[in-house]
Amino acid sequence: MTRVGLLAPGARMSLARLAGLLIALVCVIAPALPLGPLAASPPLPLAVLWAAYGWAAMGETGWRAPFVLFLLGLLQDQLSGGPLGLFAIVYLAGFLLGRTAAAATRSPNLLTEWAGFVATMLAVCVIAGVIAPPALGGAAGLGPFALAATVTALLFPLVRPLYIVRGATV
Amino acid sequence: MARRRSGRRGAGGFRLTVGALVAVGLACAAWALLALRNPTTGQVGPEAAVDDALAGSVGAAQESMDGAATLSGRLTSMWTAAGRVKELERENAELREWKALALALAERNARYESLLKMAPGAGGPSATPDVGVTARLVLDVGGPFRRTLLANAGADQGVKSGFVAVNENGLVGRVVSVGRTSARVLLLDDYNSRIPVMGQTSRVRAILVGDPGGTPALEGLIRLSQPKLQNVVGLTAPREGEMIVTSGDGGLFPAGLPVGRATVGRDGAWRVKLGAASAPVDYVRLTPYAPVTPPEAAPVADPGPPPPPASTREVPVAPRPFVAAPAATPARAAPPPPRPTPDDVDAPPAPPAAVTPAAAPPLQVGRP
Repeated sequence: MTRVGLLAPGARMSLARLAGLLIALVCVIAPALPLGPLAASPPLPLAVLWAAYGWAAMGETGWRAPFVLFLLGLLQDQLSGGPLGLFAIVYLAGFLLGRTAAAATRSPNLLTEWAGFVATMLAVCVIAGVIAPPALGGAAGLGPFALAATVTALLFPLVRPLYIVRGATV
Repeated sequence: MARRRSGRRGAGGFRLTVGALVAVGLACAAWALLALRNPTTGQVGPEAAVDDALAGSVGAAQESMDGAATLSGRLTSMWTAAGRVKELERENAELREWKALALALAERNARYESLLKMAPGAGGPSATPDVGVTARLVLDVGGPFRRTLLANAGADQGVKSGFVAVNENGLVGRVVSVGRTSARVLLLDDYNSRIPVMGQTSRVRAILVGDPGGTPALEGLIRLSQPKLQNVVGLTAPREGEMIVTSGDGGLFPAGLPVGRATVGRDGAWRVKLGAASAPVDYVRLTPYAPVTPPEAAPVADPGPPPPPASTREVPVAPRPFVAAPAATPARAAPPPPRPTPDDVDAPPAPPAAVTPAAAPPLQVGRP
């Protein structure tokens, strides 16, 4: 803990973001492994949406963030047996909506960012509800997705330091 | 990390940046991927190839883990080797008796089938135990939208789309897509799963509808929900605890495959506690099923000229005689007609003994 505290703000930020990316990757892969019902999604959160919102709130303007989200979405589509592109659209929509929500937030703190994330999750659920039925052949159960989104929103304050790192102000 | 602030602020505080443009472009690409895929034909192309790679790598990892577990098991069982040998000898003697009984029953069953002139495979999947592939489920996909499993057997092993996946406890699902070395099995509790079933004792027919949001059965490695029974057809409802089997309607599944036990859910709806969930779903048997061929698909060689459509045919029908036919025994003389009484003088003459077929009017039989 002391060593982490001694790290430069830039190194701390890189470490936190790497940990956040690893958590998102684990949450994508774990449901596909025979680890039991607790490793399914839900109850596992849609951790990629944490990364999408966090990167958007941090003002990521380069091409890497949406490209990583696109790849993570394709990976989840492949592992879940769904059509390629479904989760990619969901995660990229979370990124774009998160940018809008973060831009609308005047004084970023835990409560405003949590509220922005909850609003983003609601919008993402609506988008998934529109896209999923035709993509899956006319019928799709949105209940599990909504439950996973709820878990994701509830856990957001715990993981916020991994995705929204404000340099020396942290 | 340095942030780029070169974006142009648009309406509502949203800045048009490279990242936003890339995100929109990638979203369009993902939409194109979705649009190019036909959900009714199953997955093809890169998805199946990646499935093959995943099945191979995860299968190899599981085999190595199994090998380590086997080695540790052998090391620990060395201490109890003598007792184990005695136990195995006793089991072997019992199994020899069961083998003799099984052979006798199989021979008797073969004779019964020969006497009944049963067609090959008419007894259901159990009649052809040699057909099919045993596969291991290497990926448990607990995604929020789909409930599928990935098995490590594919087209190279003879698996085709439509194969039925069963384990020792009953029906697991159906193969919906096949790669070279892997196959994807759609589980019974998937939202898109619709299977015609019936009660084994009540004979009530219904549709088993997947319900991923239902009460999950936390048994085994694979979490299987309890699907609903909809469109129940029959005079009575299913019985609580009754065995639910496939009805064979629709031609996707053979009739008589055990599915689970009927139960009433908390919402009052009939549900099925899947038999496949009573034990870990690790190995499945992928068996082919050829539905009953309709007569139009395999017509006879020369059925004769069919009647023209929308035509009528005259079919002479012999009506039942109005009175009993006369006795055929010539030795027995017919009784003399009764003498007319004064009351019968104005009565009409008696009808003939029977109406001959030639005298019957033909019936008009319409043909749809």
